[in-house]
Amino acid sequence: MTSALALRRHEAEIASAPRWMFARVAWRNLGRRKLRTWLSAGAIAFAVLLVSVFMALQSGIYGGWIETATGLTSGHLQLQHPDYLEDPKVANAMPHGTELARIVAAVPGVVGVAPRVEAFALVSVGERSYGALVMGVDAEREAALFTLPHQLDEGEYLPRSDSAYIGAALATNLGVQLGDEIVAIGSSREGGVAALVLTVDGIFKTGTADLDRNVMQARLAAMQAAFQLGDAVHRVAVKTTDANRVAEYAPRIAALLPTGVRLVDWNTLLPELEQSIELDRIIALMMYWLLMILVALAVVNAFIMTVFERTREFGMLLAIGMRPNAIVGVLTIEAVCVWALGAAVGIVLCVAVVVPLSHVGIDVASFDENFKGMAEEMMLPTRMFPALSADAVVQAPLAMLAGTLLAAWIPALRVRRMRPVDALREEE
Amino acid sequence: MTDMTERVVECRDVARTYAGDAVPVHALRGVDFELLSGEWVSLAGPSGSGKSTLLHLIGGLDQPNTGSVIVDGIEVTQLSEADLSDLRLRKIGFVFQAYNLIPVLSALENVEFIMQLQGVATTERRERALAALDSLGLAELAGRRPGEMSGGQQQRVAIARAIVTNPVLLLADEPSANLDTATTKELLDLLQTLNRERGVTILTATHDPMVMGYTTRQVHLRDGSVVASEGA
Amino acid sequence: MPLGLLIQLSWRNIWRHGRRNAILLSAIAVAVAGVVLLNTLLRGMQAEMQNTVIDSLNGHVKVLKPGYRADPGIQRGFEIAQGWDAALPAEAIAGWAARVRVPAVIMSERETRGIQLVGIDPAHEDISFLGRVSFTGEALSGPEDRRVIIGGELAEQLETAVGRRLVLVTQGADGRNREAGYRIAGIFEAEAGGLEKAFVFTGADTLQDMLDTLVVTEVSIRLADDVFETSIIDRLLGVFSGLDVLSWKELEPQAASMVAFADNAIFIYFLVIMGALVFGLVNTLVTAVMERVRELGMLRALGMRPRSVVAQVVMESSLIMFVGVAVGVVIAAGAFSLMADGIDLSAFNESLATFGMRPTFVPVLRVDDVILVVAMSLLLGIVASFYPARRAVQQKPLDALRR
Repeated sequence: MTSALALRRHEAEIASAPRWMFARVAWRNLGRRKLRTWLSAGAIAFAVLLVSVFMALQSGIYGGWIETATGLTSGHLQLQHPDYLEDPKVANAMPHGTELARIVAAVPGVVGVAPRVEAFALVSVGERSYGALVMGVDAEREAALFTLPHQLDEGEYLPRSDSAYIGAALATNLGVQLGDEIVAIGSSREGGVAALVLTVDGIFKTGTADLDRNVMQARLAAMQAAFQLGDAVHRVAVKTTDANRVAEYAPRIAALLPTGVRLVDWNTLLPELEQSIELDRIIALMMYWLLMILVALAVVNAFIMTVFERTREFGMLLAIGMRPNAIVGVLTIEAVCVWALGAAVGIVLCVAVVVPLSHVGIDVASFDENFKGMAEEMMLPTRMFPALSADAVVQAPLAMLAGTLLAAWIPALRVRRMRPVDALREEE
Repeated sequence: MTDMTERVVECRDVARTYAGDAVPVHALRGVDFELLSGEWVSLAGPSGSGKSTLLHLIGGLDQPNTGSVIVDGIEVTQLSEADLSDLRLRKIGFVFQAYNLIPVLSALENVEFIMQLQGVATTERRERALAALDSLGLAELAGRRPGEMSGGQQQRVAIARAIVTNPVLLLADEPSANLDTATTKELLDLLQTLNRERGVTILTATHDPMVMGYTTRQVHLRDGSVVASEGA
Repeated sequence: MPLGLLIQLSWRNIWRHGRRNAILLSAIAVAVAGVVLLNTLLRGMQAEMQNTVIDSLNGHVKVLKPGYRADPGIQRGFEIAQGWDAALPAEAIAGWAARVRVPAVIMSERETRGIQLVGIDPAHEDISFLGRVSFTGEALSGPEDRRVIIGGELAEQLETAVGRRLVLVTQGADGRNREAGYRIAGIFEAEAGGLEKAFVFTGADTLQDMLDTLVVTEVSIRLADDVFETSIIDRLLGVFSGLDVLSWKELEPQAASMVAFADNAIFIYFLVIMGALVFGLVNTLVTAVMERVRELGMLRALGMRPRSVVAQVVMESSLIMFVGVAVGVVIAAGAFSLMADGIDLSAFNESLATFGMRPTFVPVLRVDDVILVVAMSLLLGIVASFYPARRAVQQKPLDALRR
C-alpha cells in the first residue's frame, strides 16, 4: 500500500518534472544558437516596433487632422435644424438660439458653444458684386473656440456691431480695403430682401481658396435682424474636450434637446475627413500585414533550420521514450520565448521612442520639403504629436504571437512524423 | 623526376604554442625536420604528440611561433593568408581523414574544381581530371556525388584531386581513420604506387601501424619533440 | 575564382536545403510583389490626383495674364491669334482650349450663388473633365450656343432644372455689371463633387458678346506626356510674350505637394518591408555558412582564397535574391494585370474626392519603379550577405578541420 502510494507520487513527480525541464531545455537551446535567436527576436521586435510606432504616429496625425479640420469652424458636434444639413436654406432655422446654446454649454465635457446664422448673399461694392456665404457669429465665443478668427491677415476680428470679416480673395475681387463699406443682399426668412451694410474691419487668409474667396463673417445680431430670424440660429457649433470621445458626449447632449433640433457629429459634418482617415488606415494596414507576414516567414525559416539541425537530437529523445508532443511542446516554449524577447524589445523601444516624442512633438517639416508645403497649404500642424495608445502597444505583439506560434508548429509537424531510427541515422 | 637529394621541406627549430583554457599548450617545442624529394615519411606518435601540428605547419594551414618552415624553397612563416592559399593551391595536395570532397559536386567536378581555382583551361582540365580518375581506377565513378560513394571511394577521389595538379608534396592526415582494414590496404597500395612509380613525395601523420609498413621513413614525435627517425 | 564555378557551387548549395530556401524565396517574392503592388496603388493615386488637377480646367500648362490669379476678371484677358498653335509640336500636345472665365453671381427664382462663369468651345473641351461628364438634357453645341450648362449640386441648391432660366451677373470689360438671362441646356454630373458647384459653362462667343470683348482669359494645354512640360513652357513663353505660362504644379501647389509626397511614401514602404526581409535573409545565410564550416575550411585548405569564400556566400545570397525578385515581379505583374482595369474604391468615394480622385482608380505600373525595387533588392541581397560572409572568412581552415 505505502509502496504503491510512493510509486504513484513518484509518477506524479515524473509527470510534472518535464514541464520545468522542457522550459529549461527550450531556453538552453535558444542559447545554443544565440545569433539565430536574436535574429528571430530582432525580426519580431522590428515588426512590433514599426507597427506600434506607426500606429502611434497615425493616431497623432489623425488627431492633428481632426483638430485642425474641426477647429476651423465646424466643431466636434453641431445642433442643426433637422433639414439644414441636406438643405441649407435660411428658413431651416432653430428658434430660441440663446436658450439652446445655454443648455448645451452646461453639459459636462463641452468646452464651449457658438451659435451661428448662415446665408448666401450677393456682396457688392459699387458696380462689383460677388456671391458669398455670410456667417453671423458671436464674436467672443467664436474667437475663443475656433481658429478662423485667428487667421487674421489685416485689421481686427469683428470689433463693432456692423463689422465684416472677409476672405482675402473676396476682398481682392471686390477691390475693398480695411474701412471700406460693403453691402450684402440676400433673401430673408420670410422671402423678402435682407440687406446689410457693413464695414470691412478684418481680412483673413487661410490658404484654402474656397474659404478665402467665398466666405465672410458678420456679427450674429446684425445677421439675425437683417434676415428676420429673431433669436433663431442655423447652427450651434459645439467644442468638446476630445473629438475621439464625441460618441460618449453626444447622448448626454441629445437627452437635453427639444424636438426639432438635430445633433450632428463631425464625422457627418466632414465626411471627407473621416474617409481620408479610413483610406490612410487601410493602406497602412496593408503594409502592417505584409510586414508581419514577412517576419512570420523569417521565424518559420529559423524553426525549420532548428528542427533540421536537431534531427539526431530529436531522434535520440524519441528513442529514449519522449513523446513527439513533448518535443513539439519544447519547440512551442522556444517560440514563445523568442516572441517574448522580441515583443519586449519592440515595446520598450517603441515606448522609448514615442513617449518623449509625444511631449516634444515631431517637426514634420524638417523631414521633407514637400510635406511641409502640403501641411502649410492644408493648414495642418507641422508639428505632430504621436499618441501612444493601448491598441498600438497590444495589437502588434498579439498578431506576432499568433504568427510565431504558427511558425513554430509548421516545422514541428515534421517531428511528429519522425521515426527515431531514421532520425538517428541521419548524417550531414 | 627531380633530384633525389632536393629538400622539399625544411623545418628549423619550429615551436608552436596554442593558448589553452588555463595554461598554454606547447604543441611543438623546437622541432627540426627535413623531407627529401621522393620520400614517403610518416609522422607517428600518440594523440597530442604534435604530429598533426607539424603536418599543418608544413601544409601552410598554420604558422609557427618561432623557427622557420621552408616548403619548396619558400619561407612559409612570413606569408599572408592569401599567399598561404596560393601555396596550398600550387604546391601541396591534401587528403584529410574525412569530409574531403565538396558534397554538391560530382567526383569529376571535385577533381576539376582545384584546377579551376588554378585557372586551367576547360578542355585540358577535363582531360587531366578524367586521366587522374582513370589512373586510380575511378573512371566509372566520375558522375557520382560524394553521398553516392563509399568512404574508400571518396578517399580515392580525394587522392585523385590531390595529385592531379602535380604538387611537390602530398599531405595526408590520418587518411585511413574512417576506413576498414581491406580498404585501408587498397588505399596504402595506391599511395605506394604513386610514391614509387611517379615519385610523388608523401607526408602522412597517423598512428595506424599498417601505414608504417609502407613508408620509406618514420619520424616519431612525443610531447612536441622528435624522439626518433628511422627507415631508409 | 571563375564566375561559372561560383554560380554552379552556389546554385547547388541552394538546392541542398530546398524547403528552407523555398520559404526564404517566397518571403522575398512576397516582399517584392508587395512593394511593387503598393507602389502601383500609390502611383495610381498619384496619377489620379494629377489627372484631376489637370482635368479641372487646368491642363498641364496654362497661359494667363499676369495678375489674373490674384484678381480674376475680364480686364485681365488677352487676344489670341488665329493658328497660334502651329508653333507647337503636334506630337507633344493632346489638345488645348481657350476660355473666357470670370467670377459671376448666378440667381434662380429662389437662390443666389457665387460661381465661375466659363465661356468655352465645346469641341476643345475633350481635354478637361467636361469631355467625360454625363448630361441630363444637352451639352453645349458650340461657342455660339446661348444657353448654359450647370452642375447637379448647383442645380439642387438653386432648385432649378433643365429648360428653366437663370440670371447671371458679372462685370464687363468696361467695369460695369452685366446681367443676362440664360436657359439651362443641360445639367452635368462630375465625378468630383466640387466641380459641380464651382463652374457654369456657356459658349465662348456668347460670353464675349455679353462682356463686350474679343479677349479670352486663359489658354489651357494638355500634353501627350509629362516629359514635354518644360520644352512646351519654353515654346509658349515665346508665343505669348508678356503673359504667364504656368504648370499645373504652380496652379495647384497643394495637390502638387501631395503628388511629390507620394514619391517619398514609396521609398518608406520599400525600406520598411525590405528591412523586415533582412532578418530572415541574414538568418538563413548565417545558418548556411555555419553548417558548411567544415566544407568551407576544406576549401580554404585546398587553396581557395578568402575572397573566393566571400564571393561564394555573396553569390549564394544574390542568387536567392535574384530568383525571389524575379518570382516577386512575376506575381506582381500577374496581380497587376488583374487590377489593371481599375479597382472600385467606391466605398472611399468621398474621401478620394477630397484627394481629387475618382471612385474607380487605376493602379499604375511604372517600369522605373520596378527597376528601382529590383535593383535595390539585389543590392540588399549583397549587403545582407556581408556579415555571414565575414563569419565564413573568419573560419581558419585549421579550426574548421579540427571540428
